[in-house]
Amino acid sequence: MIVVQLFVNALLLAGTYLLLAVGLNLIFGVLRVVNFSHGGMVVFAGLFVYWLVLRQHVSPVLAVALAVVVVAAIGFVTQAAALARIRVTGYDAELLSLLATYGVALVLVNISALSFSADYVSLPELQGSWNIGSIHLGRAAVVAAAVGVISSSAVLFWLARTRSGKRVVATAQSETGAEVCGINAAVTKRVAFTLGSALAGLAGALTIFQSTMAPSAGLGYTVLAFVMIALGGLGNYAGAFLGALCLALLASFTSYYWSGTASAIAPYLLLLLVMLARTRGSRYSLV
Amino acid sequence: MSAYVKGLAYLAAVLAASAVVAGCGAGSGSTGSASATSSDKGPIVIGMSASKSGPYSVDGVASLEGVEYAVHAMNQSGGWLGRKLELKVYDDQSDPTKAQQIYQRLITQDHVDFIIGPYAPDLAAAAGAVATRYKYVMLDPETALPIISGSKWAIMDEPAAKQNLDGYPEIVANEGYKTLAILGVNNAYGDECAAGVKEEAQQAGLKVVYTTSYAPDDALNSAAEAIKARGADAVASCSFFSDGVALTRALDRANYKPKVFGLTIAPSKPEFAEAVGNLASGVISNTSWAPSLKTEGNAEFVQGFKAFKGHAPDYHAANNYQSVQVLAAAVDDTQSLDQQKILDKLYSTTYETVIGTFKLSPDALAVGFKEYLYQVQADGKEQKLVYPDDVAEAKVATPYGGS
Repeated sequence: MIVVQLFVNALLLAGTYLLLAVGLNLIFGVLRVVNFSHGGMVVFAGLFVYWLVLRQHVSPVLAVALAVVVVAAIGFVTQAAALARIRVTGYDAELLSLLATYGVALVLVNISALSFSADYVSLPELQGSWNIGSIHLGRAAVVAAAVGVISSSAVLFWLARTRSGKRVVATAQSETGAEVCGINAAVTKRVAFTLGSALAGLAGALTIFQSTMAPSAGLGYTVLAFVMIALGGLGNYAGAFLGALCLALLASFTSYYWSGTASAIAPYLLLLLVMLARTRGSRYSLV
Repeated sequence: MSAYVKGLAYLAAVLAASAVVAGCGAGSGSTGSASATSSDKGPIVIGMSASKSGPYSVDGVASLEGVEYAVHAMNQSGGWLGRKLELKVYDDQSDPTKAQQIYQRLITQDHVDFIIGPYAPDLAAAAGAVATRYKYVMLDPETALPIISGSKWAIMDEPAAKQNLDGYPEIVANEGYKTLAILGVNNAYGDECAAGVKEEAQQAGLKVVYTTSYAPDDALNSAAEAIKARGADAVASCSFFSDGVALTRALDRANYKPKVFGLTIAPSKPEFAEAVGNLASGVISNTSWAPSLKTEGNAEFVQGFKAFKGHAPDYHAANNYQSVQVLAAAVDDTQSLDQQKILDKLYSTTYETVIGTFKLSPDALAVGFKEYLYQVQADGKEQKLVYPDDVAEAKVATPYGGS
């Protein structure tokens, strides 16, 4: 029975991981930008929710919605004011984008520390578990996992089945080709970055209910999300789910049968092994 | 790929540049108006770095407040050797590199008379190296680990990590429970503290059914399942804040209530009760100081600090106040500001302080202090000392009631 419980824990953790990775994956898929501000957005949203709920007595649901909207707006401004102004192309563009988003991350982390909390904090609203026989499911993890799977599936559906989503896929595949077909690539990119930021905000807003968060943790979230999407193939949604599941299974089982320290090292060992085994990388594909 | 390497090089350059800019700005956080060189007639200058920003900022500011109050209180009573005290403080941003630069500056440019060590072991090690090089006494009231091996100058000035859960296994055994799970965050603090608990558990006749170490950001779900599977009566965790919250929640998620639940550090912060709600009720934790202790000058410290800062002191403030208390006593005894004379005095004398007896071992460790245990009671609203008996304000309530 313990194996089943560990597997359930891993599935819930994978859902949470997916929620963390989905926004980063979308932005990389469309803009080819490694969004270094992703973790900053996650902690900004989480600490903003903490501040709203505990200090301003706003209802948790409203606080989560506000955090998503605010972080989406930050994403919109970041894309319009910084990324859209990068005029070079190729590797230089990727480098400048990386630096720009790193700058945004620093700003967000410091605003969070000055305005919301500089220390580790969390909220107890979704504590406890639901039980199915002897199997227990942590409430906060269930909510985060459900939202992670639903939002990830919704993004996948949007990209694959809707006209606006297909514009995004087309832009991701060839910006020039998309523009020749009449797609406004600049607007498409802005939409993708804003949506990706909103998803980062959603991830942070829900994570604050299940674990502690501090401004200094921002980079850690970026790295964790990046490892997941790198494992699954950058920009590949099905791959990201696989990456999240692999990491969660590793964390759950190595921690139980070996030690917590081993489970902290395991994801990076796995990433190294995958990189060694697939030296040419995975095929780049949004969907 | 080479472009990526080039990119990383650019990024490193930008990071280095921002570190330089931040370092240049660090001085803006100084307080007081110490002259560049402390003269024989001017004020006696105490210098320190404080984690006013960054991940240690909450505890770092609490630590600084203890020194600020000490300087204020001692100036009220005439200062040292008839001279006023001044405090020179820079923000280390919770960064060991910055802390090292700050202590270098305090000693070689500001020529302060004394230094007080920074918050947390990693910063203490960085600052301690500088203190050792320039032969400055550095009492560090915020590290529970040896600072620099072989150095007499960098002094651990609070109870050792190994003492942190002193008495906890005895409580478990006295309550009639038999088995214990021991967890520790995977760093020197966690290792030392867990080793101390294990030693005492064996002396108390408890069976240790599970031990593990973990990374600080571990959600600890699997550790909670392992504790549940082994049916441990009691849990002792040598944790910091984030992992303390994680373990409390993980045990709750696993539907497992140990009969006795002990966590280091986390429960002392108000954020713990905010984060875990009523799961905080019944948790046992450690402190090096409490307002109710009948130690030297403690009642005056509590009263004076409240009047000065407008809020009650915590153990960080008390620890730091104690370091200044000890320096004051050594200066008074030697009638000197000479570092070597002060050092010799510290190693040859014991002093009574607000947190207990200051006494040094030859390897630069304060060995006279005790660690006390308190329990979160009254539905999480109060922290009552429960161990040792001579200071206990309440009896231990078991089983652990967090629900």
